[in-house]
Amino acid sequence: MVAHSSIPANAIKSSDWLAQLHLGFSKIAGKTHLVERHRKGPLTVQRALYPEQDLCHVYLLHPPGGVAGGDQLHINIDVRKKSAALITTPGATKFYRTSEAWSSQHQTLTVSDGCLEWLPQENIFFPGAKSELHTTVHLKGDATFIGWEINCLGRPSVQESFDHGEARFRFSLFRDGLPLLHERLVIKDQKDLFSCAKLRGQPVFGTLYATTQETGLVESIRSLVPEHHKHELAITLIDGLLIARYLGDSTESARTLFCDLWKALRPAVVKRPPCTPRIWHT
Amino acid sequence: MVTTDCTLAQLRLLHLVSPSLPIGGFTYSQGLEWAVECGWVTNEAQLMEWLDDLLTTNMVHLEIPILARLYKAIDEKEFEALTYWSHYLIASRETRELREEERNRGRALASLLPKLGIAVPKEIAPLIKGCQSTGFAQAAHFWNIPLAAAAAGFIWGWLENITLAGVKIVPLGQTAGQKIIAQLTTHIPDIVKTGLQIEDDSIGNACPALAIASTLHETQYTRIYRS
Repeated sequence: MVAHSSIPANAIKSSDWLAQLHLGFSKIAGKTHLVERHRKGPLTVQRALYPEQDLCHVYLLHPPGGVAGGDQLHINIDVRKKSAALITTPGATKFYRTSEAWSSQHQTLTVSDGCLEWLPQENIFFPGAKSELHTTVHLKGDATFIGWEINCLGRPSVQESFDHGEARFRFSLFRDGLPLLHERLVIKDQKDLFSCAKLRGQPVFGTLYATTQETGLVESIRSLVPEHHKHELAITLIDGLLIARYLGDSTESARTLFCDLWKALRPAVVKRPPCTPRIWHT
Repeated sequence: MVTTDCTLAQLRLLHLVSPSLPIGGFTYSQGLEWAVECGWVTNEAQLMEWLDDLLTTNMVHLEIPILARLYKAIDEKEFEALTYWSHYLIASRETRELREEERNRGRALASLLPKLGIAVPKEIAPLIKGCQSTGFAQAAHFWNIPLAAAAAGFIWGWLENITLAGVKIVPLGQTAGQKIIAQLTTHIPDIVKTGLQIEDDSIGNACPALAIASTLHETQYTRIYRS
């Protein structure tokens, strides 16, 4: 019952990138260290940064020039006991148009009694891309997690809609082996794109997830949503997980809104004041 | 188990999907109340479109494949699988109100079924309290209702409830609601057929707009429905 890739095996050519990256974090002498870094192919990270002394900031770098048809990216993050890491990307991840070969990015984030902030910049799916994005989060014990995903179908900034291609999204979050949240979205034609209960023709959708047991937090977080975004951003709390969903037409709005929520959530969830990754300012 | 008494099973199904079954089906709108308030659903055509969307996505990829797995697990006495799929369905409910609805109706079913003479094994009762569909599967199986018929009835019961909610909220005339039900009912056999063929890897359906509607319903100022 494990989710497998639905990409047919014959759709992958030997010339395609098969990139893997495994990062393991452990706390040693009061500081989180990136103790394991295994890579294959063009996925990599820059050296760990410590703007907050003990918490490890890492920038994940995608293959130069984005993700092309046939590329298969596997990212595996393992945050161990008492360690705390923040992972982001320096820019948007671009999934390019393809003639037939699918591209995929599968990411597995495991947090055992530690804390992970997973804050990648947006994914842009160019018209004609055939891409699969799967994220699986395993939280164990007292693990805390704040993460987001922002997806943009087509390039609304240059009036290019996702009028052909296919995108498949899956997000699964488990707490001690039990499923807490499953989301699966398939956009394979215009009907899906304009479906009134799904995307309503909007190109940008994103979700922010944060673990919390504080039921009062949701009200204070809701009060931060600006009036003119109140129909685009909705915040709910389910079984110890706060979820904010954005549906609209701007990756910049989604990013700004999520960033503000993250700053407000961080003291409650991570027990730290906000510390914006420097790379976001460049 | 194969039953030859189809007539009785058919009547049992009518009972199970009847809006008078006291599990509060008519008190939920699943985000529709907010969708009307914000102007997404304002007339008969838009209500039909909203429902059709949920039929062809949510029913096909989530409700029916999971109902089938719950029913099969009950039939084969596979408790582990029953637990897994009951949890899976709750995990697929995207908002607080959608989860509460599933659990409230599950609790109501767990207390009602034994009174109707439907045996609820002790280990299954907690699963039913957490998941309405598990209770529906248990009842359908106990009453020898074939899976495909149970699935069709499940969809029809949902369609009737939500359409009537829509009729009240938009508001529309009773006849408009009946026309929507009659029209969309013609799709149900295909939805059942496709839904029963979905493989494990393709189970699941997120509806971002519905999830937003259901979430914003939590703080909607004037509301009649519980979801």
